[in-house]
Amino acid sequence: MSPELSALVLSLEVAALGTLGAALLGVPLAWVLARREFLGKALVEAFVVLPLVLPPVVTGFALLWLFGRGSVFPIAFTTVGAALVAGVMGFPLFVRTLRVAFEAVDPRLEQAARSLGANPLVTFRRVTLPLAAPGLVAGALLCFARALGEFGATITFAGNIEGETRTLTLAIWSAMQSPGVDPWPLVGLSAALSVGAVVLGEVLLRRARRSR
Amino acid sequence: MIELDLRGDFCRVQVRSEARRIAVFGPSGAGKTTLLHAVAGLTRLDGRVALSGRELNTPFVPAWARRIGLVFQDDRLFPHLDVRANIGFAGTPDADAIEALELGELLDRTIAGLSGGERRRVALARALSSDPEWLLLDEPLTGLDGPRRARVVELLQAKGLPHLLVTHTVMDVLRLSDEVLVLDGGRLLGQGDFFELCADERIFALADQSGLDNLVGAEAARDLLRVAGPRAGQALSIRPEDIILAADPPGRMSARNVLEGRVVSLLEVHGRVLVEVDVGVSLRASLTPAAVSELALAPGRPVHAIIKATAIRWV
Repeated sequence: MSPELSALVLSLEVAALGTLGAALLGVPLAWVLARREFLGKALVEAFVVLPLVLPPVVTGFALLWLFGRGSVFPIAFTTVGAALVAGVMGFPLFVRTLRVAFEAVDPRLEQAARSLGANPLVTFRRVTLPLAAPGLVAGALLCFARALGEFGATITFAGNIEGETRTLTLAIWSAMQSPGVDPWPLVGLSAALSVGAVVLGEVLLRRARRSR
Repeated sequence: MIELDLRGDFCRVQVRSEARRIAVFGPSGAGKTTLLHAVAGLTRLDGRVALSGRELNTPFVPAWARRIGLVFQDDRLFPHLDVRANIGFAGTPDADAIEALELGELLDRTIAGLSGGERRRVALARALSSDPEWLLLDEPLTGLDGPRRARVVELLQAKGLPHLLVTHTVMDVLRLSDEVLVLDGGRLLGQGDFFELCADERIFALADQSGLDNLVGAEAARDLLRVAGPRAGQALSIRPEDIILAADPPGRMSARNVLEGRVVSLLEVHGRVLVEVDVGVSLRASLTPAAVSELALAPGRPVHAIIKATAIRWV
């Protein structure tokens, strides 16, 4: 496999895995933020947006401190570690988008489901989540696109190991550092991927809206 | 049987009813929907709720475990599901309901494409399909035309489920309940037979605002009444103020219906007298006290009830 292709495949893997992780944690969190009041909610909300406002290198450093050598999950400088960074950096976008979508779901419809014998979990699965589906798709795509473009926190936490953590953005950076290597094909791939993700998102959103 | 001892701020009601078809009647803002949602478990009020002897409030049984079928005033259909999936949300779609409510042709439609009356019918079918032990109905006949109202009444009768109905319409009370609870300002004003309750001035005033019409079943009316226009429902409604009482047989005139009968009872409320006459069916005429004394109306006195064919409406 050429280094370009390997970087592309790795980028997709890392971004997909990171988005999946962000979604698994982000769906319940977005619902709790949209539907529940609790002590310290403002603190949780602030913590969620942290990766968006912190310099990426600081986020990477913090992750290194949490998941570095000698920690319980020493995943720094591995593919899984790169996926973790990708998920963390995309997490605020996912949660915020889905939270707004959950808030837009009419609670009276959830009441109707409950009156029809649906317990809270069934109500969530059959009413809340389907009605928030466009938000879920949009959030996941934003998260995925952010993960694809991640650079600073990744290089800090996961390094730049070819075949393991050298995603497209890192490969571009490496190419620029090495004389005689043309970064253009990588730049083109990366741009095409991001544009593709956005277009796919629009198509899915349109389809979701049309089925209403 | 329903037993309530609700102690909410805006709904404070203590009542026990053995009837299987119960109506809660009152003006808007009386707390009717709050009461219904408290019974459904969607609103938590302090106090006691029991349906058919089953305690639902202490400890609190969540709405989804109450075995109720609730028809909301605002329908609350699921916009992401088609009509079929809405009706089948909680169980096998009830074939009787789909047929009686004429929903067969609508099954593949989206919710956004339905009219108000169609939505109401889907909501009814959905509630009936959830295999409930009790039906809770919030203004279930609003938005339906006369014949469709009649189909709903028939369907509910055929299903035979006990129900608690909330309405601000006297007609719904008369058609769909054996016992009425009158509610105003979140307090119970009375419980029992609707017309007997009208002896209470406050209840009569509420009933009068809503229109205290006579209701005559189509079969009973067939040999009795001449009605303008073709048959368009299961029952006829006549406003008490549209009935003229005459002591002697009247001469030639335009009114199509002259019915012989006797006065059954008189009820004076709010400067008017509701005179109940038996002309084969029981009708109530609204008269002034002056007219009553001039005709010397008293229970047992023979009278003629005069009703214009155009004053009778199908419902």
